[in-house]
Amino acid sequence: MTRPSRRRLGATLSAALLCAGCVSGGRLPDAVAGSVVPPDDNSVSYPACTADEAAANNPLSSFAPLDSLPSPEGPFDDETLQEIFERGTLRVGISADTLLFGARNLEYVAGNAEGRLAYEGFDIDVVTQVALAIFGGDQTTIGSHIEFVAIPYRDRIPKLQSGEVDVVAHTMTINCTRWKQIAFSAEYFRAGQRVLVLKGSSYDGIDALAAAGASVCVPDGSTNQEALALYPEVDAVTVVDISDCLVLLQQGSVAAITGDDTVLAGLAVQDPATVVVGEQFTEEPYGLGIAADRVDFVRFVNAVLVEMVDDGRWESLYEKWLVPLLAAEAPAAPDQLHDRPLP
Amino acid sequence: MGEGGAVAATQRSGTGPVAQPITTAAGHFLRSLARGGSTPSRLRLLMVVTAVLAVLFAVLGAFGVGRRDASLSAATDAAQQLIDVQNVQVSLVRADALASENYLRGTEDPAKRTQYVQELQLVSTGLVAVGNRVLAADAALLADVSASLGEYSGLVEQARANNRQGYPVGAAYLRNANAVAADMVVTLREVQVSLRKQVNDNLDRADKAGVWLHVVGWPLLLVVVAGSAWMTARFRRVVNVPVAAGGLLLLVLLVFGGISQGSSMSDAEAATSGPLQSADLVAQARSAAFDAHSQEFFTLINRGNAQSNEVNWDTARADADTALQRLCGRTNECELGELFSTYAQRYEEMRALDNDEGDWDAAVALSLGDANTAFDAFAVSSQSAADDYTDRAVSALGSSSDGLSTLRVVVFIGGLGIAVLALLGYGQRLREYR
Repeated sequence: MTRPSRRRLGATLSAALLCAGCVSGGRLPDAVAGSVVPPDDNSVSYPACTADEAAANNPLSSFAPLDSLPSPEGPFDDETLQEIFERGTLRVGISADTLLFGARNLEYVAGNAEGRLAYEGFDIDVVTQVALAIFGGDQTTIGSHIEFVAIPYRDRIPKLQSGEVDVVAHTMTINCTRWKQIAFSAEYFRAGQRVLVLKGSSYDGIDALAAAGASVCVPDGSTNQEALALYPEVDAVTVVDISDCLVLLQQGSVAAITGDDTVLAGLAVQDPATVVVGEQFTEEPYGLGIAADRVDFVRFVNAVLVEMVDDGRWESLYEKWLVPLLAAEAPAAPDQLHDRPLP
Repeated sequence: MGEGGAVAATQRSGTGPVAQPITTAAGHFLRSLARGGSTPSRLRLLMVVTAVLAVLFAVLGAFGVGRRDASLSAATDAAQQLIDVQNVQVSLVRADALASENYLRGTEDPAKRTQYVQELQLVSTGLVAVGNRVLAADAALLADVSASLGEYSGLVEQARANNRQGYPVGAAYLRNANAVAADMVVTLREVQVSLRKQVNDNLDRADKAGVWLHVVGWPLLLVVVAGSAWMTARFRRVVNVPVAAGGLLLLVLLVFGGISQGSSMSDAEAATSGPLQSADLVAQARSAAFDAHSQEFFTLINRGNAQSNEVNWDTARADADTALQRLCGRTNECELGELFSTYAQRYEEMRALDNDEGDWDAAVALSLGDANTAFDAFAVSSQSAADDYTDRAVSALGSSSDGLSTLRVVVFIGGLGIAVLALLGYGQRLREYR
C-alpha cells in the first residue's frame, strides 16, 4: 500500500470512528434567487398647465393651415417636409393593439399588390392621407413611404421630442399640458368615455350602473378611472389593461367596462355579444402629435385635415371603421380651430 | 490460587493506572471494582455489567444502524420527489413558453402544439404520481396545483381561439394564463422548499444515528479489556478465551461497523453535494430559462405594454445565470452557461430591434428564428445534463445505504454473542469457587 493510500485509509478510519455523530457538509443549499436591479423608471411626467396658461390658449386650437397644399413630390418650402420627402418615408408612431384605430392587419403580406398596410384603423388611414399628400401615388404604392413604429402610450411624447418619429397617430388626447411639450394638429376625432355591457343587459349607461352599485371594470391609473371616481356608487374593479376588462366581462366577473368609446368599440368587435351604450360622460379630443418646433409641418397637416373634411374623406373613414359600432351614421367632423398664434 | 493473593492483586490494581477513568462510566465501574469485595462478587459484578452492556450494545447499535438506514432511504425518497416536482415545474414553464410562442406565431406550428400538449400531460401525470408519495401537507399543495391546471389550459384555449380571429383580447387571456402558471410555480417552489428540508433533515438524522453504535460499544470494550486484564492478573493465567473472544468480536464490530456506517454516510453526502446538487441546479436553470423564453415572447405579444415582461425576463435570466454559474463552479461543466449566454445575446439583439429601432417584425423574426435556435441548443443540452445528473444522483443515493440492513442484524447478533461469551468466560472462573 502506498503512503498516500495509507493516509487516505487512516483518514477514513478516523472519520468513521471519531466523527460518527458529527453533522458535516453534503446538504442541499437553498434554491437560487437572482437579484435583479429594477430598470430605470422611464415614465415621464409633465407639469400641468396653470389656470392662466390654460386660459391663454384654447388647447383645441392649432396653427392655421397652409393656404394651399404644395404639389406632392415637392420640392417643399418647408424644411421638415423636404427632409421627409428626401428620406422617402414618413415615420409614424402608432398603437399596435387598438382595434379600429391602430392594430396589426392580419391580412397584410409584405409586397402585396392590393396595397394593404401592415396596420389598419382610423388613425392609420388619417396619417396615410398625410403621406399621400407628401409622396403622391395611391393606396397601392403609399405603403413603401410609411414606416410604422408601434410605441406604448408613455413613449408618444419622448419619441416625437427625440425625432424618432415625425408624427404620432395614436388616439392621443389634446390638452394644455401636452401642448407645453409638443404641438398638435387640429382635432380630428372627438371621443368620450362610455360603457360596454353584454347585449340584453338592463344597464343603459353609467347612471344605471351607479344606481345599481354594479361592478365596472376600468384600467388602473387611467384618466377613465379618474372620471369613474365621480360615480362613487359604482363598484370599480381595476386591472392593468383594458383587454383584461373584456376577459372579466366575458367571465361574468363584472357587469360593464368603461373607457374611451373608441377603445370600447374595438372590444365590441372582439365580442359580438357586447355593445357600447349610454352617452359620453367625458370628452377626449384626438389630435396628431408633432414635434413642437415643426410648426410648418403642423400647418401642412392641418391643411390635409381641412381637405379631408371638406371632400368627404373624413366621413368615409368614419363610416368605414366606426359605423354602426359607435353611431348609426357618421356625425359631423369636430370643429377645427386654427387660432393659435404662430411663434 | 489462594484468597490472599487475589486481595494483594486487587490492592495493586487499585493503586495502578487501570483506575484512571477514560470515560466517566467506565472510570466509575473500575473504581467500584477496585474498592473491594470478594473475588466471586467482583466476578459476578463484571459478568453482569459486561452482559448488560453487551445487550444494550446489541439493541442500541442495531437501532442506530437501522435509523441510519431508514433516514438515508427517506433522504433518497425526498430527493427523488424533489427531482420529480422540479420536472413538473419545468414541464409547466415549458408548456407556457410553447403556448406563448405559438400565440406569437399566429399560425400555429403543429409540432409546437403537440409538444405543448405533451408537456401538459407530463405535468398532470407527474402531479398525480408525486402527490401519492409526498407528505400530506405537500400533497395538499400539489392538489392545488392540479386544480389550477384546468384553469390554465382553459385560458390558453381561449387565447388561441381569439388569436385565430385576430382579436387582441387573446393576449389578455394568455397573460391571465401566464399569471395562473406563475402562481402554480410559486406553489411548486413551496413544495420544493419542504422537500429540500426533508432531504437535509433526513441526512442529519442519519448522521446523528451513527453515534448509537459507539456510545455503548467503546465503554463496553473498556470493560471487557479491563475485566480481562484483571482476571489475567488475579488468576495468573494468560487469557480468558471467551471474554477475550468477546472483546475481539466487539472490536471488529466497532471498527468495521463504524467504517461501514461512515462509508454509507459519506457516500450519501457525496451524492448530495455531487450529482444531486448538480441535478438541482440544472433543474432550476431550466425552469428559469423556460420562464425567460416565455417572457421573451410576451415582450413581443404585449406590444407597447411589455415593460413588466422585460423585468420578468431579467429576473428569470438572473436565476438561470446564478444556477449555471454555480454548476460551472462545482463541476467545471460550463457549456450550459455559454449556451444560455448565446441565447441571452440573441434576446438582447431582439429587444434592441423592437425597443430601439421600432422594428417589431424584425424582432419577431429574430425571436422565432435565431433566438429560438439558440434557446433550443440550450434546452437540448440541459435536458441531457438533467437526465445524466438525475440518474447519477438517484443511483448514488439509493446505493448509499446498501449493506446497512445486514450490518444491523450482525450488530444485534454480535452484541448478544458478546453477552453470551461474557457469561461463559466469567462463569468459568466463578465455577472454580464452588
